[in-house]
Amino acid sequence: MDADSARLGTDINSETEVILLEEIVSEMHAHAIQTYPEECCGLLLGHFEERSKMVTESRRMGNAFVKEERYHRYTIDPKEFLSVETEAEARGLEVVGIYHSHPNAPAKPSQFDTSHAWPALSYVVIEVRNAQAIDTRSWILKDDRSEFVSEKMTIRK
Amino acid sequence: MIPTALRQYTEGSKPQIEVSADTVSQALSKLLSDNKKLAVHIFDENGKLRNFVNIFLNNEDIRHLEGEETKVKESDTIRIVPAIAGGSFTEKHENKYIPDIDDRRVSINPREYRRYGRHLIIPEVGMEGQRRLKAAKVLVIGTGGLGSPSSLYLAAAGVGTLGLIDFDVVDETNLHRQILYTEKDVGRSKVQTAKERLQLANPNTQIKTYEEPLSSGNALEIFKGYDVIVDGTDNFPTRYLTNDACVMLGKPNVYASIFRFEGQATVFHPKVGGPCYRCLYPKPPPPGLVPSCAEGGVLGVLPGLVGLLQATETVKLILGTGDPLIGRLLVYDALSMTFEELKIRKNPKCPVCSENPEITKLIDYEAFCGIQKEPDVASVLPLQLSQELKEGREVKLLDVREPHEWDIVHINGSKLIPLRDLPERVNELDSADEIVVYCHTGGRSARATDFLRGLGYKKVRNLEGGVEAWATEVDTSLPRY
Repeated sequence: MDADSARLGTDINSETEVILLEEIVSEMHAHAIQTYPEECCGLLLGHFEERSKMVTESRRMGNAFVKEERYHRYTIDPKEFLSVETEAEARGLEVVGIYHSHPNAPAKPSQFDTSHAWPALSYVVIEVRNAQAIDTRSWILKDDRSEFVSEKMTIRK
Repeated sequence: MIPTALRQYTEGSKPQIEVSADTVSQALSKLLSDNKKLAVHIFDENGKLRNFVNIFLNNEDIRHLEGEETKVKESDTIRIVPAIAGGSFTEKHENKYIPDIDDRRVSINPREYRRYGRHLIIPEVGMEGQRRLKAAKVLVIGTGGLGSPSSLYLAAAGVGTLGLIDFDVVDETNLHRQILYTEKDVGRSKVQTAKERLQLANPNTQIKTYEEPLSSGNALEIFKGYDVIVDGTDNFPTRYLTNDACVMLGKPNVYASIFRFEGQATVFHPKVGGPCYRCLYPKPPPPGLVPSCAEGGVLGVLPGLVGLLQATETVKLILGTGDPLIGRLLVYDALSMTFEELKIRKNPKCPVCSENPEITKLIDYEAFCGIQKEPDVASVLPLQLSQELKEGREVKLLDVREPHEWDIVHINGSKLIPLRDLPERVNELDSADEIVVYCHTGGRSARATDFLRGLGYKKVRNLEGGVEAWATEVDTSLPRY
């Protein structure tokens, strides 16, 4: 199964939408497969619009969690985050989302994801099994931080 | 500076808000009192900064300064920087027996799902376990009675790499228990034949063969590449060698031994706290005291069960599931059909696995077990003896085997005194006679010859190769066993 035929998330129970270029999805999948069985993580750059986010670039970030835990944990070094954010802003782009992979686990946010999540951003989660990206879904945190809700994900050529 | 994610919670969604304050703490409370919706994302219920919120003062994390009490000056920039973290919820169990097994880039491809389907649906195995099996490297020492069933099942179960050590060829007497081999394999190399058979069972298993005797010179080098060592040997020098090499490399040693109707199995793994073979048997038995299967016999079905105890323990170590036989010796008696479990304690003064071991390098295990290459006794070859008898030379033949062996075959005109009865029945022999002693293959008779010569029987010789050689070279009408 290649990235193109991978099953993509379709549940819609949120009013927001994230729009991704097809090449960005392929790139996230490639990243997730390369780091498997560890989690990968990265930033999604683009623009916030009225009810949606437009993602025009993705940026791979190193997984700064201790090596032994990377199979189920990721973290991004804040300094590296800051440097990407600053550089993006200089080009008129914003950090609109985070992507990360779940090796051998469903593409749903975990409790750990929820407790560490930031509002407004799209959290794209890629389920990887046997080094194949088999499910990709986007999630957004509720304002009261209680839980993630699924977000519509549209892929454009 | 407010991160994009939080701007929607500020008045007017501004990226930058100016406040005047003396410390970081003051600046933050000022910011939050003006922008109340921000608070929940920055502070937890107890009013502490959430652990995924980083505050930077002029590009320096305040944790590296004086925390929230860090002083601020006019035109300083305070940035809220998200610590982005998360992860999946699988709490994977570690494999303490093979700690690096999950680091190997091995995966089960969809073509293999069906083959291992009955494994994948067991929660304790599943995809993770099957992947571990595929990533595992198991070395089977000896592809005989024990190695046959264990290697066959390990290959079938999906173990990715199997190493086989044996330098023997298939003998007809192997066939009643060594199920890897068939009649047409007699005379062929064991490891080559085994490799072909295992490859039929599972073409995905990589089989490496070592057609050489395991020795102090090659053991560490070979063992190094494996995760689990399965000891299916039948002699003491190799068992001590296998044990010591495993201890030195920190590898689990899945041990078993068989004799007649009885089998023993355990797992030696001092690295995780268990005892080793030397804790159980500090010294080898005197040479000849414990007979091998060739000398004492073995029930053909026995190694099937005992070899699969080893295969089962090996699979458990790879999966990291269940309780291995570490520190427990399982004794199986086929006649009474009972399994007994004996506790084996670690010897705190063990010469190899204690904290301060005396033995840190592999030694000469043949010498350690008191084995001499050839008993230094006068001997005679079968053809030579046959010639002497034809010439009418007066030679008394003494058979030192067991009575039930005598019943299978013996040389006409010989006298039977089993080796163990020889000391008390030695007066039945005349030291003036010329005597030739024989047994099955020449080992026991060499000891008998040595014993008799020590008592002053000067004209005693050993028949080299025993009745086996006699039946092959002189009287081919005799049965062999």
